[in-house]
Formats: sequence, C-alpha cells, structure tokens
Amino acid sequence: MRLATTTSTENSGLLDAILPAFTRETGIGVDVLAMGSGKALATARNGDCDLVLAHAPALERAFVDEGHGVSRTLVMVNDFVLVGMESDPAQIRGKEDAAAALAAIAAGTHAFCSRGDASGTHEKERELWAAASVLPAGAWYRSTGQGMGETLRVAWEMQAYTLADRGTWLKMKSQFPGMEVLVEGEARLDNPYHLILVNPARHPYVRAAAARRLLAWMTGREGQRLIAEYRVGGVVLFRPRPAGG
Amino acid sequence: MFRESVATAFDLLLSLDVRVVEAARVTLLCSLSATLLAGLLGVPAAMALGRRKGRLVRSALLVARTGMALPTVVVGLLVYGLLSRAGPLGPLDLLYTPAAIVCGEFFLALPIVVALAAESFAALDPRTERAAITLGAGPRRVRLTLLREAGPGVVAAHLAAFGRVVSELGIAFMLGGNIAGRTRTLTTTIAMETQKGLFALGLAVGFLLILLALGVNAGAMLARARAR
Amino acid sequence: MLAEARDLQVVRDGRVLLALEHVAIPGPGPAMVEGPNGSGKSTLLAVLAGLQPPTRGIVEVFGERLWPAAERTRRATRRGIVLCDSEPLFFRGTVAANVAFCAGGADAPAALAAFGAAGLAARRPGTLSTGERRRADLARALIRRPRLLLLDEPTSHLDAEGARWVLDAIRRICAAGTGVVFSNHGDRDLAALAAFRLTLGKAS
Repeated sequence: MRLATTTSTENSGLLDAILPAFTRETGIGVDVLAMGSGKALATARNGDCDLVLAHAPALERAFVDEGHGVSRTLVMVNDFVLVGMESDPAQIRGKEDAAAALAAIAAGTHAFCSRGDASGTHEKERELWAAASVLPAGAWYRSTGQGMGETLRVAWEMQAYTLADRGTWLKMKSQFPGMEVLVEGEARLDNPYHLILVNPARHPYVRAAAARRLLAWMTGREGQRLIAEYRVGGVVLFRPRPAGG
Repeated sequence: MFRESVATAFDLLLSLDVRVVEAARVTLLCSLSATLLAGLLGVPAAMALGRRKGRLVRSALLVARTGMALPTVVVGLLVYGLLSRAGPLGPLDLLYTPAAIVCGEFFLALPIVVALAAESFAALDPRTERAAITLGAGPRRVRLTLLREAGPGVVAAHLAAFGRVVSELGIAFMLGGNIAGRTRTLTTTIAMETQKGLFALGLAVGFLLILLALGVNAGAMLARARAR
Repeated sequence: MLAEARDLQVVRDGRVLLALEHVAIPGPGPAMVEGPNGSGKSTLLAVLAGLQPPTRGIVEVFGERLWPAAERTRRATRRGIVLCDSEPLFFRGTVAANVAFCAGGADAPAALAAFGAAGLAARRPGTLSTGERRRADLARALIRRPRLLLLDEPTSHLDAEGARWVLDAIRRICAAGTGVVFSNHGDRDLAALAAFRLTLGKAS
C-alpha cells in the first residue's frame, strides 16, 4: 500500500526503522512517498495513495472536512524549535513565548527564513506570526519554497533565524556549526503527527483494509513502543501519543 | 568534498551497495525502455519526415525540435495529470511505478529521436531511394535500406535521447515517487541525499551515473565496430 | 517495341524538364538519346525506368503500360528494368553485398567475373576507381537479368580504355538479348554504336 508523508518525517528515518516490523508481522508492504504536507494531501485527494501521515493540523482538518479523509488519528508528537546563529542579534535566546520571539525578530528586521511551502512547519510558523499579530514582509523575510533541510542550509548561509522541526534539526545540525536552538519547549511549538485514511467512500479502490491495519498497528502497543524507542544520535525524536489520547 | 566523493563512489561500487545497485537497475530499466520505445515510434516518423518535403514536414520538424527543450517537470506534471487517480488513466494504477517513469521519459525522448533521426534521413543522398527501387526493392526493403544507410545517425539520435532521460530528475520524481526499492533512481537518489545535505554522497552517486552512461555509449561503439 | 512514349511532359517546380511528342524505340537497340544539357535526357531515362512520374503522357515498355498506371502493375514492369546513373550510388557494405542487393541469392562473384571485376568483391565501393565502379554497377544491374537496361552517360569520367571497355560491354549485353537505351553527351564512339537515335531539343 502507499503511505504519503512529509520529507522531514521520511528524513528522520523513523519509517525506515519501524515499518519493516509491520511488514514482518502482517505481510503487508508499505511504499513510502515522501513529499511536502501540502503535496501529500493533494496526492491523497487524487486517490493516488492509501493513507497520509502529516503534521499540518489545519490543512488536515480541512482535508477531512472536505470528505477526503477518515479516521484522523494522533500517532506521535515532536516539537518545533526556533534556531539561529549563536550571535542571536534579536536576543530571543531562552524566551518562553515563541510568538514574542518572532515579534522581536520582525521588530529588528533580522533575517528569517521561511519554508514558504504548504508544509506543517510553514503552517505552524504562520500560526505564530498570527499570534504575534505580525505580518512578515520585507527584505529580511526570505521564503525558500523548499524542504526543511534546504531551508536550514539557506538560513545558515544567510545567518538567519528559522523554525525547524526537532527531528530534522537533530539529524542535520552537525552541518551547521554556529547554529543552535534558541527557543524551545513552549506548548505552542508542539508538532503533532496524524495518520489519515483516504476515504474509501470517495475512492473505492484504495486499500482501505491494509491502511486500517497500519493505523491500528502504529497507534497500538508495538508501533508506539518502536516510535518511543527510535533515536537519532542517542536522542529520542518522537513522543508517543499520550496514553488514553 | 571532491576527493571524498570519489572515495565514496569507489566504495559504493566495489561493495556493490545494494541501494545503489537497485537504483542503477531502476535507472537502466526506465531509461533504456523509454529510449527504445521512443525509437520504435520515432524512427518511422523520422523516416517519413526525412524523405519528404513541404510545409507540413517543416512544421512537424519544428514541433519535434522544440520538443527537445521540454522541461522535465512540465512533462512530469502533464503525465501526472493523466495517470493520477483523478485523471483519465487512473484506473490503470500506473502512478508511482517504473512504468509511469517510462511513460514520462518516453515523451522526453521522442522529440529528440525524431528530430535527430529525421536529420540523418534527410542528409542521405537523395538518389538513395531511387537506386534501391530500380534494383528491385519493394517498399519495405526501401525503408530497411534507408534505415541501414542512415544507421550511425539513427543510433546517435538514440544515444542523445538516452543521455537526456538517464540524467533527468523531474519526471522520475513526480511520476515515480522515489519509493525505496521500487522507483528510486540514481537521479532521485542524488536529489534526496543532496537535500539531506549529504553532498559527497550525492556527488558519488552522480559519478556512478556518469559511469553508467559511459558504459552504454561504449557498448554502442563496440557494437558498431563489430558490425563493420 | 522496346519502349514507346506519347505526348510526354515532365514539369517540376514550374520548369519543363522534358517535352516529347512521340517516340517509339525498337528493340533490342542499343538506342541512344542525345541532346544538349537541359534537354531532359536523364529525365527521359528516369521515366522509362518507372522512377519519375511524368506530368502528362502515356509511356509503355515492352508493351506494358508504365505511366499512367497503378503502382502495383508498374512495380511488376519495373522489375525488368534497371537504370544505371552516370555516377552510380552504392550502399553500405562490400561490392559483393551491393551486387547481391535484392538479387534473391544470385551469384554475385560470378556476375562480377562476367565484367572482369571478380577481384573487387570484398572491396568497399568508396575505394574503387571510376572504371571499377562502372564495372561493379553493370554487374549489379545485370545480375537480375533485366529486359531493359538504361544507362545515363555510361562513358562519362572514364579514360579512353575504360570507355572502350564500356562500348564493348554494351555490344555484348545487346547481343545477349537485353534491350539497351543510353544517353550520350558528345561521345562520338558511343554514338557510333547506336542502332536508333533520339535527339531531344531544349525542353523549355
């Protein structure tokens, strides 16, 4: 069956690590299509995949409301971090309010790189700008239109701030010496991942039974255990869904 | 980075890294199929165009030559529209399979084969067809004769088309989906590793791609020498 | 009657290449077509070979209608006719391969030997002298036993010895029963061979 997901999820290596266990147990193979959240949902809308693993709640909700997806279920959570050069000209280090941090960046017109694509990260970024009542515009606000890896690279080359998901950051930070996490831990920076089944009523040919099994497995005891144990460079990347959640 | 890439390339080759071997297999399968299919359709078309003159022929050649400059992403998008479940050929369930890549690359290769092969046929001595006919060749034999006479040019047209499709990325990504073990090609591997920041690895796989192209071209030259 | 043409005209791109009211060529010849440059000698040979469609006119060879006619019937008649250009065109491959082209397994070396060109079999046409190419071309034409052989300026570009050889070959071919029509531009010895003369005036 086909699972569409985001490049950052794929790059974290989690799926490569845990899906083989699913295939061993059930005999069902999973083809992973990695693209941005927006594209993954578009692919699902066309019926070209069987389920979606995304982390763009607003887009996902619209997707389900339009009748394209069913059984939207929380699978795991990680978080976003605001990263920048250690020089930190906007002095946001350690701030507990991510929106306020962004406001400070905008006020000082310090360089900021945005994903600028229809990704979960970009969606979160827009949420924070809205919370800060700031409309980011100007030469300091650079929209890369690319994935997390490229955006981090551009930010590093331009000595700019950016919002990144912790998974990609942990995997790639060694490539960006001088860059570090400046703001983290705030509740608004949470990054929930949901699995959504493509609505078989809309697209009768999707492999709904297999998709349901994967959903059940990933939210079940075995899947959740493997997610909680997955580490990159010794650091756990994803938190399993809260018990009873 | 350059030195590191060369070293990595050797490593990958000698150890026959399974991911690389698999990607090379997919690349060869898709690119060769697309090129050969383009030849099957394109060479007869090129022969028809090369033998004749007139406004219609000139227009067709203009279209073919312009088609040599098609951006791969555009082709990918158009074929995606056809093969997606939301599109007319959806029920064939071809998207995200090597067949879909072949489909897209075929449209990339076809104009190249037609434009360049037509040039070869047109460059033949205009008396060739008459010479064959007076010696008793029927229509089919005449076509075979023209093909044989324009042989090297037609082969070169295929090699040019192959070079284009083996190195393209947009179609493989959009129509193949870069699925590990299924539709991950050498080019999508390069793009993926580069996106992850693993430049040396990307470059290394790039060297292997060039090596592959070298092999195909060398094989063609050998075959030609032996046919002499 | 070897060939007959009535009210023949060939026009291309607005230019009249050939205009001939009537000609009846008796067999076996050799028959000669002469005339200044631009009078349509080569064009007439191409029409008689069934290769050049005339714009107007009726053409018959061996009493069979060549033009206007259905392609299938013309193909049948064409099988007995071969046209040899003044500068023969050879295909890729050896001389022997060229001689055997579409000859249905006939004996290429023997055909070459009949024209004293047995040694050329393994050579490539590009390496031959003008005289050798002429021999190979004639071997290639005659291996398929045509009823009519058309030769466009067969002695052009040949030295005296080569030309003498061609004249002798034409005599032999005619004597063997094959009809021959050749075009001539000023070769007196060639002209002396002719049993029938057709003189073309400037066409346009």
